[in-house]
Amino acid sequence: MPWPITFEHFEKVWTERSFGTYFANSVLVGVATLLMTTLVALAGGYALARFDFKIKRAFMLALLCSQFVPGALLLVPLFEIFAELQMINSLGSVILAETVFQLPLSMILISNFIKNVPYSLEEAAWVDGCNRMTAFRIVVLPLLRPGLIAVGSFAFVHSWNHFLFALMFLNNQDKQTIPVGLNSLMSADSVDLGALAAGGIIAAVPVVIVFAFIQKWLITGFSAGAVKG
Amino acid sequence: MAQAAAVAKPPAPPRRRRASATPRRLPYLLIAPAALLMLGFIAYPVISVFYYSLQNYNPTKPWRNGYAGFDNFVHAFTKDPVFWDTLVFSAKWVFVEVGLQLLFGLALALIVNQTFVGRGLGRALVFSPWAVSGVLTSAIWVLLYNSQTGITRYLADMGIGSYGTSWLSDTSTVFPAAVVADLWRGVPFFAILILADLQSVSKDLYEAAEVDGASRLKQFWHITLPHLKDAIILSTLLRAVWEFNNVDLLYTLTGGGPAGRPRPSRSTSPTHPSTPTTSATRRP
Repeated sequence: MPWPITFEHFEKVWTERSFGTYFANSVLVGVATLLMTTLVALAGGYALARFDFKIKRAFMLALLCSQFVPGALLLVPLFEIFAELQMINSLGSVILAETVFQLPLSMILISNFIKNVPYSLEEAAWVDGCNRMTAFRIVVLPLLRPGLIAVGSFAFVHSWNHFLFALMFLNNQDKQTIPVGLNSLMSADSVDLGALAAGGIIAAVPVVIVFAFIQKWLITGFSAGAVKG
Repeated sequence: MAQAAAVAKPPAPPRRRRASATPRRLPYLLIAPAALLMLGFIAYPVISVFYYSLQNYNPTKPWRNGYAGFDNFVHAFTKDPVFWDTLVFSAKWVFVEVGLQLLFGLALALIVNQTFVGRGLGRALVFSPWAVSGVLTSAIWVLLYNSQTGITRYLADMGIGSYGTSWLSDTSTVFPAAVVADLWRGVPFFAILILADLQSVSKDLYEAAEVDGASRLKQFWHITLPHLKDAIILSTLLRAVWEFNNVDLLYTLTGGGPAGRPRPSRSTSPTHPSTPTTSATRRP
């Protein structure tokens, strides 16, 4: 075992190798993806759980099919779209792409969570004079909390970990995210093992904290949502 | 449900009308944001990929741009030397990875489903690799496979193998080395899904089997496994698709081949198209 212990690698990685900037970017992408995914999926999930409408089956099928589209296949057209929108090199492109790929599964999960909340609860609230929105907010939303935490954490962790979109859509060094920074540590001319280990720990800490926190909801969330679908 | 609400509130106040009128359009409004996002950023790109696949499009030879028919496919199937290699490699990769992940995932799920001291910690340990990104998995395994800091050095200390061995830079060991690294991250997915499904097996069944004198193995075979069938099929299918599309781990761990030389036979199909543009960033 090498000795003595030093924290010099962390300092070096954080400042010289810009992991401080990468970290901030990754947090921004993660939180924005979490918020957008949860909000859009909540709206769509409610519609899927509570209404019967004409294109519902087709829409569900589209959600499932989108799961089988590999992100790598769409890199070229997505790059063109973002170039057209002047979004290359802006974190917005990565946030949008992550959100879109998170949406289908999140929506299916959330709609299953909503189905588990009896509709009669909402109807009772209408009887008491709430409109649909208020009834949803004060009756359904609190019961969805474990599910929303699970879905939101997934969105955050996924976008935190995702490598390909950030690698392709962000070229500026001060716009990069943690996984890209980590890859650049590995592809440097001589691999600096201390720096690589320090970078790895910086990359791992947030997700490990998030997962430790949601671990107990994960099992219930999955058994209520995905598998029983 | 509009009926139920109407019955419940006979002396309709003005707001009543709106509440019963909205639901017809409401579901469409609610799915609109998701539908628009998916149309714009998944459906449209998929269609344009098909369109480009039938076109000659090369910025350096603009005079040849135009409709190409199936030339691109013919080229990929017949002339591209790496295409079949990557396809065969992908098939091998998916088969080995998914099979082993299912096996280990099932075993781990059964273990952490028992009651024992420190079960919470055990579960957390089993699940944690799943939270880790492909790139970070590579970083960890690059350290573990490194000839100076890694496993081979300690093995050499014990007299097994020789110093300076790096499994990632040897064509005969790079495949199993990558398989093990991806197993580390992939097994928890199966463990989580199977464990979730194990929660719903009725305890009565086991008790009844116990009374009838069935062994633990028989109980597993006749109660647990049939119950898990759906979950296993679902997760295997999903995982097979995801493994087929696996880019980040293989790309960052091997850069397409030992020692950074894009060795196409070592990469899966999705990494293949990106190799020419990105190999420049790889270590020499």
